[in-house]
Amino acid sequence: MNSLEVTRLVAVKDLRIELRSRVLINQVLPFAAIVMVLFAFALDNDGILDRVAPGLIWLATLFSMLVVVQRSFAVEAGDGALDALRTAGVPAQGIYFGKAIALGLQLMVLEILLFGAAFVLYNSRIAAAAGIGLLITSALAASCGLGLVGTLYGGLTTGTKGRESLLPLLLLPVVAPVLIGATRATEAALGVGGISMREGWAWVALLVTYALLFGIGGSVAFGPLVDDGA
Amino acid sequence: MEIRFVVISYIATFGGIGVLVAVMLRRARALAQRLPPEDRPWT
Amino acid sequence: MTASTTQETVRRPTGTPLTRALGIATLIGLAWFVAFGLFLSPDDVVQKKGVRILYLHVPSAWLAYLAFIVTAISSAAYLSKRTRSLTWDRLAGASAEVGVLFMGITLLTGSLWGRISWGVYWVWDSRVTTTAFLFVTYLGYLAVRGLGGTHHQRARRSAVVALLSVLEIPLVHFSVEWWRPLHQQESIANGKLSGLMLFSLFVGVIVFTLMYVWLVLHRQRLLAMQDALDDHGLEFAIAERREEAVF
Repeated sequence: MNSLEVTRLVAVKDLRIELRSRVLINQVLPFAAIVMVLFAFALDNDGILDRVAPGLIWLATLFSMLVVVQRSFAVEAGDGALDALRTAGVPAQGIYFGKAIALGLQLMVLEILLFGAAFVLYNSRIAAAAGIGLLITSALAASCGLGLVGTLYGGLTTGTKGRESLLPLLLLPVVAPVLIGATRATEAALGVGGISMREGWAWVALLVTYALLFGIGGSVAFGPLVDDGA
Repeated sequence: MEIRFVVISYIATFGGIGVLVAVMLRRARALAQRLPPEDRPWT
Repeated sequence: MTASTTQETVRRPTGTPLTRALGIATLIGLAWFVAFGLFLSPDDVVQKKGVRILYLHVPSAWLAYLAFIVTAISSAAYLSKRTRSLTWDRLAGASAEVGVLFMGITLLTGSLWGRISWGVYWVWDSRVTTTAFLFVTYLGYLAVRGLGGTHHQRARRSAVVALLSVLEIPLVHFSVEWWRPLHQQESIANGKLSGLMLFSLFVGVIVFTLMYVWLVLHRQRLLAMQDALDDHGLEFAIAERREEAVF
């Protein structure tokens, strides 16, 4: 079985577990929605909310992502499933990209909900027709980057007790460029913050570079990180 | 304000280094009593 | 080995003649540096006494970045099969610990200096922000080192994390720079400092580098002792119990 096939199988497996357990729908999405409502309470001004909506959308994505990543590896660590996969000779790259794809897809569902929430709660609107393409592309690129990095650090912090609390400390500094890039691109698409469409696309280029670099780095690093054999 | 900040900087810097050195030497002494000399090839 | 030298090495467990000489040189250098930085050098025309913070700030920043470069290189050396040795891992860990201390000092002195010169403790400049991210990232690195497992598990895990940080830091720097292109001018670069001040700074950099070598050598040896104790900890405990039983 080649890596590509493994990737597909792992991704399908993760998504199937997700569909059956409904953790994303029953727990993470409501969590993200309540975060958006709490932002509105904290800022308490419609003018400001409209202006900062892109940043809040991506901030809520990052916080919710922590929960999804932990969930993604809790199912592996439960019965030593990850160790069993590795012992069976399943290539690490396949597991890595499979889990990253599943994570990225879940993040996209999350982002759609968050954009919807911003549309309803913060009265955010897309500036021009060209903004739709920018919005979708930037969300895709950011989801790829976040999925790849989240899987990498999720794999590191899985397993023994006490490691889960390490995930935010390790992951949040690393995803800061995604927060900046995705927020700027979204601002351009929504026409707030005085960022031109052109600059928005430049930020998408940063997001793509980020995803590529961590995709390459992660495919090399994931195996050594999750293998606990000496 | 300036003099106060300068003094704070110097105290924090050398205090921080001093604490690190003190902790390091104390732990080293405690460990050395429990280890045979073969485990300290540099001595 | 005679009893007296054993006694001596227990009292100074991580010292050798080389590190002792280095330590004495560092202490003399530091005394000279403080005398110069605090008393002998003149106040700056613009920054007044604030310039004296720079004498600490610049060498600390240099040291912190040097420490993280050493951590990255020794992590790569550990991961390479030809040079795999726990010494590289301990060097990486020791260097990162010293680096975190000096990065903290850099951020503290930098914000105090910024308050004097710019009127604010913090600016969202790419250099400042990258430094803060480096600080947090390496706190995470030290936490990863403390996760447990065998020595080689710890070494491999932390080496990979150290190299991933090398990937992260330029991305953070680049994105912050792009986000806030306004740059605070470096006061050293545009020649506002007099010759004597530059000399103080130069002395600081040399003395701090000597101090770094001293700190890392000792810290690295301490880590080696800790690892050795973990390895034979059980054997020693059993031997002690046996002795108790005999007498």
